[in-house]
Amino acid sequence: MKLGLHSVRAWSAFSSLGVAWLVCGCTGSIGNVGDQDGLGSARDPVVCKETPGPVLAPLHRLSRTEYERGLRQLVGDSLVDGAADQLRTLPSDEAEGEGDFSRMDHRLSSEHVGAHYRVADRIATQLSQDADATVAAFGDCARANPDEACLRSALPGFLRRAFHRDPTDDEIQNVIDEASSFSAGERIHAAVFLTLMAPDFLYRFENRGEEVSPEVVELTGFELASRLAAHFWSGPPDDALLDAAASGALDSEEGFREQVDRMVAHPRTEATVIGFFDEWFHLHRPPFGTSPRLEVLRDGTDMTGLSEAMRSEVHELLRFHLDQGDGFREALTSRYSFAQDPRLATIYGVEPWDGTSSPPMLPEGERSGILTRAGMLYTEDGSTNPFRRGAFLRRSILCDAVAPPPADLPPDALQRPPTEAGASSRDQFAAKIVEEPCASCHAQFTSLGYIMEAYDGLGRYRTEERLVTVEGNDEGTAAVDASAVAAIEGRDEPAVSGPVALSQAIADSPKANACFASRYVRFTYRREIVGEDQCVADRIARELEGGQSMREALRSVALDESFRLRRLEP
Amino acid sequence: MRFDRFSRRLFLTGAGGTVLALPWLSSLLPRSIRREVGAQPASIPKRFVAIKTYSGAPVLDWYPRQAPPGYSTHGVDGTVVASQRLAEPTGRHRNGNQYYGHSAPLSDFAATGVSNVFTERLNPHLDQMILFRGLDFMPGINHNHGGYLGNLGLNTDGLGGAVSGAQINATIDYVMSRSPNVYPSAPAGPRVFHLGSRPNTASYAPRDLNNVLAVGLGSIERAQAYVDPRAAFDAALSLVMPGQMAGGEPGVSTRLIDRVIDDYRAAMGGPHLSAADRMTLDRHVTHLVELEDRVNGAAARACDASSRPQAIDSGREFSVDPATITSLFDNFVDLIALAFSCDVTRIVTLDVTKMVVEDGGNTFGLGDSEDATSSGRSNWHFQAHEWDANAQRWLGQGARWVAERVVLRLLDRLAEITETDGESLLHHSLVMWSNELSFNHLAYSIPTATWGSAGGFLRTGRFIDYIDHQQPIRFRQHEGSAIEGVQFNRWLVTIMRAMGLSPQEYERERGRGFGEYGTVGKDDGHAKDYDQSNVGQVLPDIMV
Repeated sequence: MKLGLHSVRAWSAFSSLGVAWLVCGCTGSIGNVGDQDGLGSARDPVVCKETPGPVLAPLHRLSRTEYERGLRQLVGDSLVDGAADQLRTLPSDEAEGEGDFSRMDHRLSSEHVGAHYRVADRIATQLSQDADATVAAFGDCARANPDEACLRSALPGFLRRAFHRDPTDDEIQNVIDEASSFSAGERIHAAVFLTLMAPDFLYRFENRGEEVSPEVVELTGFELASRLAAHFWSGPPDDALLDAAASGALDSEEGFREQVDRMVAHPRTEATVIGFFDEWFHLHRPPFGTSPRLEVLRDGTDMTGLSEAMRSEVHELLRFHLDQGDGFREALTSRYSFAQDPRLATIYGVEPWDGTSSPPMLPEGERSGILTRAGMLYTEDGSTNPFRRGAFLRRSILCDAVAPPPADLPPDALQRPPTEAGASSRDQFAAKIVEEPCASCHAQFTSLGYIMEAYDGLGRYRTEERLVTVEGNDEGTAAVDASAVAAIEGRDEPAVSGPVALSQAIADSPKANACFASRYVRFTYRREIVGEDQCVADRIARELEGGQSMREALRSVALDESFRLRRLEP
Repeated sequence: MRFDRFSRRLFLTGAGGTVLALPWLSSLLPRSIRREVGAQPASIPKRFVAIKTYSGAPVLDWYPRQAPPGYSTHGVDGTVVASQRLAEPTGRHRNGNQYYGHSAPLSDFAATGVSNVFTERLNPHLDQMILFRGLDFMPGINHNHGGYLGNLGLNTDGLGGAVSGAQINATIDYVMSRSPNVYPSAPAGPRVFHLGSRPNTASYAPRDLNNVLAVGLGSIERAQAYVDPRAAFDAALSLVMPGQMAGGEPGVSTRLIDRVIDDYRAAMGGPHLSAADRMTLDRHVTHLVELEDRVNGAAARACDASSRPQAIDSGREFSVDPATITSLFDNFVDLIALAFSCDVTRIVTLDVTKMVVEDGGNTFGLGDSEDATSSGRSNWHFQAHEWDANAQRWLGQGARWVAERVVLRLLDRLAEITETDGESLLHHSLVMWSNELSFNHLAYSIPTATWGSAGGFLRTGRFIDYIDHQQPIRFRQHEGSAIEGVQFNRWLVTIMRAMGLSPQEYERERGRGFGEYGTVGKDDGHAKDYDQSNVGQVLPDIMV
């Protein structure tokens, strides 16, 4: 039974709705970003139906990860390893802007096409010269005489594994015709090369389904299988998924949910989800370096590998709360320590976690939730910058628009204030932004950073800041003031005292779940979410607010009816 | 039924209905029409190398601090000023007064070296050098990626991206790469060979390779660099390596590219594709056609490229091991020389986002990041903001390392290669080292130096200062002065003319040169009294 599509057709009536994303600029009425408070939403309101419509989904070039996994599934690890040099010439996928993910990199250059050629040529050469690999891919007949009959029997399976759908008779015939124009010893090479260079191997097409409106197409079972695999695994669909597509099981609600549940439980999905958080939280930061300041601040601690241990602790926290069926709110307020490295455990004031038993609890009042973990806080030289910390929370965790600094900044505006005896970093940074045009721009985010001054650049909790200059001169200490009006929803909020209260306030705000949802929808559909596409994120955010777990929210993106449809750009 | 290749192509382009209902897609045209005709290959090709370093340019270290004969010292600025007025005026200010740049021979520094960055070690190439001062970006841009190659309307994402009201366009390396005057036929390697210590470059490619002058954010995409010398070698030179394509019968894969192209054309005619989807496939076709030309062209270009480098993983932005950085750039430089000598490419960009500092016996690396959320000694951008005594010294030393280790090595390599006319490959090249910005993130007087004369086009061996020192200093930062010089656009025009392009190849509007030339985003506190009537002309007094 096909899924009901009445709501999709109804949705198309809303397709003319548009959203104008606010372009923020700290000029004129500085600070009025998004709404009257300068803290608000980054978009105009969108009228959403109860069931969101399909999301724009442009033709998708396989990411580098997807491409390599597709190759490995098709021809095996040894042949792909043998093409490592050629594969290395393929450009990496890079996240470009704030809130972007590397899987959103859709660039297509001559470097991509050249690399595809080199890889295809290398693998085709290896496979055709390796009798075992030839038999594995094309059957016994290919070893002795890959004639037309042999190819006709082997190609349906080979192309199915490559294209993740049943090939058409014409596609099979075309490869046979082309390969047959070569000598017997070259036919396998030709068939493999043509397959690996084919549009259906390098792109994920979603255009063979039934048209449900002029701009909306329902995905075929095979296309849905590929979309699921790309989303959850960043790779190709496995045989079980393809079989479900071929049998029609994926077209039924029950069969579809069965596959989604199987995939969600798969370890590769966890890796993808952790990768999502990793990019969202900017966890890939430079490790601790070597500097006179850090040399003083580290107090004899061996810093080797410590930043990696801090990052792993954040991953473990996420895994734990995903496994527990917790919501994002619980991750934002978690008091469990997952520090397995004794140095990190010492920073937290707990015993190291053994990785299996119940994790220890953090000391009360010092830390709460993921934002207070050393992996989110450390800097390369141990210094802190409340502006950057605040801007990160405002922009990346609350998804509020933050206006960029104007191009015509006053002289030395971006120069970091010096460390001086008797003045905390907060005092020094605050002194830089007393005057306009700095003051009103910084009002958007700076207070959040001041509250996070309760941690130093090694992620240690502090009530006193140790003042160390860039040259490594110890200038004594200064009291830390970690109270400020966080202004999460608006500037008339009471002051928040310390990062534990801040984490709670962020967790209590619907902005946190909304930001999580919008980032994840962006990750899913690999593009900026605009217009009515935001309705999908809004629906997930509502359900998170209603107590839905993170895992269920991640699963629900796929279960949403919009996932099974594709909206074309006009 | 099977079509042969020729008839299948005709079928696809002439089938009417679906195909002809598509938006205009250039790759559907017969190749004979796509190819530009009439350009004659230069007897000796010209090569262009663009080396870029990033924010925090130590301006004082770039320029002379001691005034030999032929120079004077600026009364306010304190910097050394060339004394000889250029014969050709820069233009007229709004008050009608003509203004001029000045020059002096660099040979005057033969005994000392030009500056703290261009030390006496670079003296063997002084006669090939031009040191520019006063090349100004017109729009008020801050951190940017493509300014030095002419995309002057785009800040980095963190600074809001597009400069409101400014033109966004592909960079000149891509404009030149499509010119038949640079490439009369397809090269065996990439038309633009991007190398660097991070994947994202400062170049912007047109999405539609057949419309390199298209403007707007949607018309361009950021090019990517090879960050591993071995991968770069394989990408550029594998086709001309002995035993590969060169000199042999075309292999199976080579003979099938044409067929693959047809597959993409057929896919473009599929159902339920948006115009954007079809454009993506069309671009893929264009790249495949280009690949086919490269592969076929390589057959006649055997080259002894036996020195395949080892793979180097230099890590992400902040992996700054000095030995790795040094090895990385040594290999890149050697690769550039090899690629030029094998003539597999003629345009190279080299993004230097890492450098080595040698400070009082203490050697360490500096890395620059697009996402500079960290801090510390090894963070180039962080140090540019610190700008204390350490930071200034380190950035100066790092720039000197780039000059002495990267630039000098490249100049030596290019000078060693002799072309058929007896001149060096360096003579026939134009090697530019420029920067993202000037002092403290400002878009004035972008530190820029060149070597080579592009085959005798440029008059080299000179310090040319286009700053109009008769104008008032608008403001000073980091010991740099904001005074009107000349539009950077005119330098871009000069580069393209030097490489053999005609204005029709790079101008969207006749006489207006290239890139955004309006002082968009600059208020009256900035220097912006430029003569825009000549923005499309080459720099004054620059040509032989």
